[in-house]
Amino acid sequence: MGTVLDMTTDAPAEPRLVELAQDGDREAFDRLTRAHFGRVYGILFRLVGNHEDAEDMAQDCFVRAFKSLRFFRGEGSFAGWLTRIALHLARDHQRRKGRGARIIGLEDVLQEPAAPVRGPLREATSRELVAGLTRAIDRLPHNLRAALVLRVIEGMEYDEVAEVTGMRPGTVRTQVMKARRLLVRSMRPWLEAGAR
Amino acid sequence: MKACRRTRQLLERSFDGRLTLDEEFRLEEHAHECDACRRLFEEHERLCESLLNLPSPPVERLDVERSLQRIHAALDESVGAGDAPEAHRAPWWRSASAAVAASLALGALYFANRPGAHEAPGEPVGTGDSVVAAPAEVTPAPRNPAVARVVDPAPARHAVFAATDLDRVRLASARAEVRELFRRAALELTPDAPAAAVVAFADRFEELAGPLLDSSWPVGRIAERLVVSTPDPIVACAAARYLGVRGSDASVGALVEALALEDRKQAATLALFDAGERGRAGLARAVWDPDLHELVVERAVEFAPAGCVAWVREALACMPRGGSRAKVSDLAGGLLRVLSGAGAAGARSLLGLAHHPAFGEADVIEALAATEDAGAAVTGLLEAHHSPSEIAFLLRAVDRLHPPGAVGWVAQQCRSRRYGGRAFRILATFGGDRALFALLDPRVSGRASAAELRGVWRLAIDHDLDRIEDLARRIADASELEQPRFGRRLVGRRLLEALVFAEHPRAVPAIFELVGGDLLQDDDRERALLAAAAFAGDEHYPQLRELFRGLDSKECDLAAACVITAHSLLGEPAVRDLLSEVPARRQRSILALLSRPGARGGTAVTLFKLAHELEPVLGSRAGTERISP
Repeated sequence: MGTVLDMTTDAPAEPRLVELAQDGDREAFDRLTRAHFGRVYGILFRLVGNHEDAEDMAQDCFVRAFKSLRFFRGEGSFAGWLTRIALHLARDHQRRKGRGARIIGLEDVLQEPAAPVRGPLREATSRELVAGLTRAIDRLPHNLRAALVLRVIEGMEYDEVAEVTGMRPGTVRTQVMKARRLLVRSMRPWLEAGAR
Repeated sequence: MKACRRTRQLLERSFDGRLTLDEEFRLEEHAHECDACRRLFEEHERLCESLLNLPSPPVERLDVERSLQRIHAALDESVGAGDAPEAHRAPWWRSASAAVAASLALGALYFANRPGAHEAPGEPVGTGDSVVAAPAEVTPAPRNPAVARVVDPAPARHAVFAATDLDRVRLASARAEVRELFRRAALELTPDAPAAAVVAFADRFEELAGPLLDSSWPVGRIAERLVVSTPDPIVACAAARYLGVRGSDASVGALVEALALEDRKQAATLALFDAGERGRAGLARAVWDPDLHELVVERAVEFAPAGCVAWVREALACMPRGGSRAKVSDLAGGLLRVLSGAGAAGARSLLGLAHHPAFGEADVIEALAATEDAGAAVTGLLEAHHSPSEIAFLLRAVDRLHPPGAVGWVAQQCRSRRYGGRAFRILATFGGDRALFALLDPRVSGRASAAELRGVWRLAIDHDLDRIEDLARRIADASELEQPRFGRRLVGRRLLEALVFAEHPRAVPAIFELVGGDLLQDDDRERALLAAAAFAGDEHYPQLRELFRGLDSKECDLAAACVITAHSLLGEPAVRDLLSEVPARRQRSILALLSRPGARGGTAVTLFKLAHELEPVLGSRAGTERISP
């Protein structure tokens, strides 16, 4: 089926791709998927903590996005809209599994060094710290975790996080602060050891 | 501690990169001095470092193309399972708005084709300038061609949109046509035309606008817009009057809107009158416009005496809150005039308004007095049960109006501890036999003190002396009295007592009248005569003389009282005049008695001796007729 995409050599802008996808153009949607899949997977990996779940949920995220593409009215960015779907999926995932049942993918974490090697003891401490931190992040309430991941790890601005999470920027700032305090409290032995 | 707290606040902000250089310096300085804060700072710093050093997601393990295949498979599977992708479905709000639009279209078509739809010219089918007029095919057929669209909704939508564009053009031309027709039809319409003339004008306009009305053009709605928007006041006024007699309920809104426009508010007001009941609410507002006030009040009295009580209530609810209070009260006075013209119902309303902040009580009473058959209206009000404040108001109203039927009610109020004094005074000035009889009733006057009683009777004597004297004359003449409840003798005695008690010189003739009659007991007559001597004047002597000449031999004591009184009034000459028929020797004897100390007071001894001296004089009249005065 011929589309606008066939008639131009330059890649169309994202809003145009979204419009085409809204009209049922699978090729346009594929382009959008390729552009955003990695980022969505990255956020989901931070939130759920393992590759398999993150990949499955990223696929699910795009299936849902395609099905409900008509609801996207272009008021925010398409990336933000996808992130919002991803956050909902992560929240549902956490609810389904329950906090205690969370399996920490240490193998994922330990596959590459968390910090520059400065000696065997320091390296071991750092690895423990990363593993503990991953576990501690996972134990955070969903809202705090989402705010922390998006703001501190993904480096999004407070306004962007607010748009994605549906909270106010001030609330996001508070959530991030609370998350950081909780992490400091639960990670204090490793943090003190690292400081020595 | 305070420095630590401030430092921790800075610490939180430092991780957002929101610290100024100065704040950074202070944070570091404090961290250098305070171990606890430094430790906290280092922990947070290390946490942030650790968060940033968390392992990156293993993106290299991702196979995006494989994921895409899975996504497609999932989408295809959901389509195959009958779970059609939402991407191919219209959003809910589109479905909902389509449903609403379809309902509206069907509704519009129903109303456009309902029986009699074409017999209602001027019925609006849209709003303002965005009027979606009748179908493009403006045929006066009884069945609207648009009915066919109901069968095939899809093409109907396009047809309606096409017709709307076309109708906008036609609507502009229709408005110009209606404007011109109003101008032509209004040639003979004067600004203050009566309703009959307006109806004739409306007929003329509809005759001219026949084709437009037949084709269901929203002439009424066009007229509504013209009333408020056309710059031509003649057309605006004509449209307003037309809406007044032929408009719908919705047309009143345009008329009310026009009340704010200087060059057409008078026509709008008249149109609201033409509209009858529909225009009432608009007029309730118009009455507060100083320019329209007189017009509204005059017309309200003239045209709506029956419904104006409710209307006044409505108008009071619209009373402006701000502005000059005097001005508002002035305008409110016009409403009282309206109620004055509303008979008994108006009077009842006025009673309710006695304490309304917009009115003075005196104004309300004057309005009450101005009502048709005000006395009957007020009397009618008295029958109901009233609050104390209403009773006070009614007493004032009765005092102002003196309705004959109110005597009983006022007499009843005389017994009230609260209003007794006021009611008693009202009764004294009321006038009429009934009021006098009520004053003489001990049940009415029983609560009054001696001073009050004297004051009230003096008031009555000053106010209604003629009637009192007339009553005294009728009692003395044994004429029939109008009040059958009391015996004539009893009434006479009470009246004599009251008049003597009042000690009012003007009451002396009435006292002499009562004393001259033979209905009352001699003792009462003597005492009254002697008491009257204290406040009677020279001018009363002729009547006393007549009284004396009318006495017979059995009335020696009364004759003695007459002589004492005459002596009190004019001294010895009066006694000589009175006893001119008496031999000189007896005259000297009588004058000698009167010259004794204490004789003027009419002591029993003096009276007895005088009576003895006069007995032969009066006895000489025996067998002869009494000397008539």
